[in-house]
Amino acid sequence: MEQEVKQMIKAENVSKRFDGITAVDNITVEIKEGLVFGMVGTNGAGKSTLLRMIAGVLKADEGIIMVDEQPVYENPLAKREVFYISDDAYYLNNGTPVDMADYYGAVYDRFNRKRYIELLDQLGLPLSRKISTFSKGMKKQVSILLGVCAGTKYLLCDETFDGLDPVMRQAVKSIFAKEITERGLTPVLASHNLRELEDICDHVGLLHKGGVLLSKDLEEMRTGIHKLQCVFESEEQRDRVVLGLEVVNKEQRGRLVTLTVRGNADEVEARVAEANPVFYEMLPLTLEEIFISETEVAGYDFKKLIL
Amino acid sequence: MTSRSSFFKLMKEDLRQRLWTIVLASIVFLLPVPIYLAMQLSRYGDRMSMREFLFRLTSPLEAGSLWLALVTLCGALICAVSGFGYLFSKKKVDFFHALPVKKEKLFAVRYINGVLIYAVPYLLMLLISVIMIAFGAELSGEVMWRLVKGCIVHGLGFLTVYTVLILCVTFVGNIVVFFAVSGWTFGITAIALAIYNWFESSFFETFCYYQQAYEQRLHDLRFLCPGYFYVSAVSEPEAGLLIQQLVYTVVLIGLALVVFKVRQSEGAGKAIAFPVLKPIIRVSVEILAGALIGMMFYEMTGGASGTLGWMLFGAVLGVVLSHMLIQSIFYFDVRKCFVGKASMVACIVVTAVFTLVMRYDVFGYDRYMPKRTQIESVAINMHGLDGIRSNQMVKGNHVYWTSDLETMELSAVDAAYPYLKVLVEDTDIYSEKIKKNRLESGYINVDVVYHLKNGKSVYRSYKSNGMREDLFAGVFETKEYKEGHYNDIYTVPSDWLTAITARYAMNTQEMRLSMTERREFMQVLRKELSEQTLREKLHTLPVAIVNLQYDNTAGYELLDSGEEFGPLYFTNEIAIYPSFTETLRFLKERGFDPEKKYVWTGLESMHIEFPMEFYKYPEEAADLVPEAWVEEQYSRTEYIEWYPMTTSDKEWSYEQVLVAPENFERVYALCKWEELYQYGAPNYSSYGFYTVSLDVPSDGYNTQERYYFIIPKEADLSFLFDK
Repeated sequence: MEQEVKQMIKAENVSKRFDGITAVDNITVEIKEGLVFGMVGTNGAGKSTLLRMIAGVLKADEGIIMVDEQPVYENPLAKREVFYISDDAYYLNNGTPVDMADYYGAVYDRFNRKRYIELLDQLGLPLSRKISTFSKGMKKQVSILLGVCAGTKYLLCDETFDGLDPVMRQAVKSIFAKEITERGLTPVLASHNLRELEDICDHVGLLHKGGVLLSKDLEEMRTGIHKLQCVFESEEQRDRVVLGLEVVNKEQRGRLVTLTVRGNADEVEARVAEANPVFYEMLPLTLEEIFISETEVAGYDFKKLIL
Repeated sequence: MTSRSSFFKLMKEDLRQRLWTIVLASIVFLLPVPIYLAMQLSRYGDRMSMREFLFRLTSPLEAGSLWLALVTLCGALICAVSGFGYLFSKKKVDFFHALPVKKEKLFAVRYINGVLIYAVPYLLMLLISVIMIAFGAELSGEVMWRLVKGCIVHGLGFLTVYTVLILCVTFVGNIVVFFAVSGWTFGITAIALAIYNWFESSFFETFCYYQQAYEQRLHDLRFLCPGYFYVSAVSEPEAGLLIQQLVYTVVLIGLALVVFKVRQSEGAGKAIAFPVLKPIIRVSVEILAGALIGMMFYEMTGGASGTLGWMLFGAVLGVVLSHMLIQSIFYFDVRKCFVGKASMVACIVVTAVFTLVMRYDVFGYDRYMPKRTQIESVAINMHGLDGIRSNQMVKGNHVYWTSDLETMELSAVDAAYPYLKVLVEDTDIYSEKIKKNRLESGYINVDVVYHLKNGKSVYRSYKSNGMREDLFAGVFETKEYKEGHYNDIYTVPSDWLTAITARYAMNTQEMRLSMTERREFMQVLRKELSEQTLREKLHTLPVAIVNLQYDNTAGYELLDSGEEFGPLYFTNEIAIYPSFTETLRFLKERGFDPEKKYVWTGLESMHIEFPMEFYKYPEEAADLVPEAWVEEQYSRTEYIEWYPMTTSDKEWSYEQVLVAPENFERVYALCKWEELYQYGAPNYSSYGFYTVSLDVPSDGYNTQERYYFIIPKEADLSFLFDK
């Protein structure tokens, strides 16, 4: 019986060092097909190195990176499913968007030139103007369109949204959404800016100092952690509530207590309501807040970094 | 999409990116040569033969064309950098290495495109040239062969240099470092050998300059010196070397592919992409820089024994400075210039040890002599044995001034071995004296090459204390010695000897020789040269000089039919000794009599120069000249002129004495033609004769001509001073 190939990118115990500096340290991560994977981390966290390894540009010193169960390094069969957009992308000398399409068309056999031209037109990008004369944002758009039209399953974007205006971000998101729906494209978006990924990612991996601090589905994270603002009649009442909840973080200003709590939203709300506080409210957490909470749980104090 | 079609698509796209190189190559190849040919074709007249004209036409396209060599080298550099220079940029590496293309394919696409950028315009240029020559002049097989040979030499040269430059690109991650590493790759072996050669020539007394040790060693290490093959082929293409070059280049292409494949993408932007190369480059440069600067200091301080300290200081300075420079480049940070101090100290130690080993000849270079059983044959070149005559050798289309070391092969080693042993001892004694700053005269330079049975050759230059006649005779009087020493006479075909000019002083006679005469003359000359004794050679003045005029007109014709020799015309001279009776008979039969004295008319004056040698004080000089003359010279000061010449501790002077007219005939009877001394009789040391000058009115304008003769010192001139 033929075994089904698992459609995913898988990095197993991957490490990479440059001149004695560990850029990626024993990372294990899976990027499943059909999801938008966000990779966040501070500068120097190893995001770009990991992406370059997934793209087959760099060879891991240790561990292995598989794309659809095939090692990616020096393997055109695996690499033809991956398109990498570097944070500082190269455009052919004196190249126009059409020249770039010609070049990629020569190496990516599923490159959809027709759609590429349509999208360029749609975004108002000139076809035959030298890319070197484009603005930073326009260049990024060209890169994204090339990546989308290359026909690969995986699109690796390194800080690609940095520099796009809100309108263009929405346009790109809708292009991604269409591609995800129509042919199961898996964008992997690396950024140091959590807010950039918040409204687009399904799954987020947090990299810090070359390692993965956490890797979770965003929805799972959102449903599993909540922010509560309450005003209690007494300290006893407050302590009773806190004791009955899995509190990750607690802040108090006067009588206003802000709690970050893990658990089922209904159960948490029921628990608080049962204590009958003067006031309580369930607030949505930003991705940033979720990450700070999660990483604090993991033993990292991001506030220290900020301070 | 099939792999093949994607390959060609990639090639096409890559070529589009390198359009400027295609344009440049087209301009360089397709403009100058057709213009040059058109100019030449429009200028052709009757003043030169078609053959000469064709030589001129094809000169920029031949193997030896320096223009084509320069274009090839620049082309290789441009093609290598335009094709693989992307490896210096992280941005470009990310772009190209993320593509679903195997590195082998990427390499092949870029490598082949580089070759095409050079080869296509070159071949087009050849085609245009062939058409122009065919229609404007004459397209012979010889012309085609010259063009094909040029194509092979420069095409192969391009491949070799281009591949090595690609290797250099893959070794590094920065364009500036690329140029430095390319210089290192192409030059390190040649520079190391040159420095070693300098040490040898400075410190070893028996170092033989003729051996061309540098060239020989460079040839031996040619696979470590990538430019050697191309330079050799441009100067003189040899089929064997070209085949070696082809194999070498194929191996290099394989190596370049492997290096390209294993090169990590993160090498972009770094100084060196392969850390293992760093110590190799650094250590080799540091040691060479130390040795070079040490030697420069040694020479700048006079090369005397007291300068060893300066030499070692120079060595330390060279190592330290080069270490600082290299580390600053490797780390792109001047603050890292002293990283790796331990290895720097090790380099200083190695350089100092090498310097001392060479300086004190620790391994006995000067005293080394191969064992008798190891020697296959020897060649001996005694300097000054034939005065101003030089040995000649015909090779291919050229005549070379050469040394006996190249033309001689003495298989009778037993006869030569005792002589050579004495030379080693003489040299040793000489060296000791030199070390004690005692200037020695009377030593003769003798170059020797030992051809060993293992195929190697050992060259030495000895100092012989005098002629060592007893031992040298056994060598000189062998046929092999004569054949090597008078190489042109024994090896050039007799038929080439179209004319000879015999002369003795004012007697000069040119003789055009028939084919029979040529053969007869060469036969007797060879026979008598072979039979000449060393005693005669050293102690007897020649009786005449014969100028030999070779002209291989027949050979010139042969060239057209693909034979070896080209048009050659050359001359050489040979001294004729009294024992050469048959040769003299030949000359006399054709009207030349060396004994016939020229009768001077209107001789105006005659002077004799007496050389004087003295040590420091004139009174000591008095001991060296006959008593009677000293008195005479000081009493007749009006006839004395002084020409003092100073050497380190001796002084020479000449006193010139005017000969009274009544003694003209008597003195002239003792005179020998001065040139005879220059051609032979080396045992007449510089001051073993008196010089006689004759002043004769030359024409009706009151001018004089001066003719020089010599009188051997043994001659009795006392009659000059009879009262």
